[in-house]
Amino acid sequence: MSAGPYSEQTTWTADISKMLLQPSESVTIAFHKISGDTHILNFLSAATLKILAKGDENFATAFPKILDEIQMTEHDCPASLVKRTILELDELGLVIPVETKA
Amino acid sequence: MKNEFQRLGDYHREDIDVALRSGSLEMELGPFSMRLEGREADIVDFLFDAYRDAPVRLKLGDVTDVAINVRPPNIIRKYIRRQVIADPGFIVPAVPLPPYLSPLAFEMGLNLAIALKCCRFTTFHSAVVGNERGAILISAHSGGGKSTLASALMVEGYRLFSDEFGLLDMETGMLHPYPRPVSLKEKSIDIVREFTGEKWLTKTFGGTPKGDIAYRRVRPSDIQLSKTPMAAKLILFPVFQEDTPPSVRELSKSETIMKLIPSSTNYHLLGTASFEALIKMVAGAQTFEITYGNTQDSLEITRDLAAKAGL
Repeated sequence: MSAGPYSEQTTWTADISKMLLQPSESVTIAFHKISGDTHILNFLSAATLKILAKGDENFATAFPKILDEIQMTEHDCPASLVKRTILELDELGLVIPVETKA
Repeated sequence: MKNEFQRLGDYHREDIDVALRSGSLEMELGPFSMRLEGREADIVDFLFDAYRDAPVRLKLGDVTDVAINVRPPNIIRKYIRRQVIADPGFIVPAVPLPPYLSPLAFEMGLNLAIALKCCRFTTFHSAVVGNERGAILISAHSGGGKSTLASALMVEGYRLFSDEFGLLDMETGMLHPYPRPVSLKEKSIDIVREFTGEKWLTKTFGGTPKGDIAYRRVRPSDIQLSKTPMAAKLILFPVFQEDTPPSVRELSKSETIMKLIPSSTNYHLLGTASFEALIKMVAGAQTFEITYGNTQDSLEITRDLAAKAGL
């Protein structure tokens, strides 16, 4: 799911200045200052946020960087899982689409 | 005569009655001052019974943190089939109660006022007890057994912080006491009476919307230490399941945080400071979910966990 329309060319960004991120045991606790909501992020979600905070990425460009961040292979973490993670983060308001090309 | 706080039980009943009727009775407990108003004799009886050791004064000294007025819901119910509601100064849905239950309206109104208007602390719906080494925060839904367990721990020597509120200081991450009478419902009244003794319980109020209710009085020592906050060393989520063998499950910090947030009335309102204080509190505490079938089991588990937590 996502918060709105998107395509494969949509680029995504994360503004972590609007979040408080607290690593705790195997997860990251994220407080979103805009919504006041608190989220528990697994390692993949936390890594996705980190990569999208560094620069705008679409699914294809974000994927290898995220794999590199979590030090996993495509076999262990397929592209569909990363895509779903980005869309879930979008739904939570933690990442937002920057641009959608037709 | 100086307008200083004195033990409520040391005043003449008439003086308390007059101050209560005129809305000038001020009580101070923990970090809160409370302006109290009401015309029912039952409230005066209740104050002398359940709040006898609380510091009060007969004239307001300054702006109070909360104000509660137990009054008729409308002019008709002032005279015909009389009823009362607790008015905390803002509109909240309140079930009108008969005058003999005005102490219940008073207690529920004070709880609402603190829960909805207190912005100096992050408030969690929980019981808190403590000793000189730290505090135990007990978070449970209504009927989960937090009041019974808190009462049992008081007998063990812990001081009462609160039966209803964990008041989290957003700067220090410590818990502040707010010792008001412990609300006991239905079966827990007899359970607590058995190990506490009759003298510490108020009369039982029957026919309330929540069934029978009685209050376990606060001890003078709880009030004397009501301005001394402590850090949480142990956070418990009791789950009562009748005739279930006792069990303990340690919780991760993140699970603890996500279980505590829904029990707060103002976490979202207070934002960043609230989150940081919560992180701080949970970081310093061991956290467990305990499942039990009777008070003795919950007490034994808590004794064991408290000892391991350094309490």
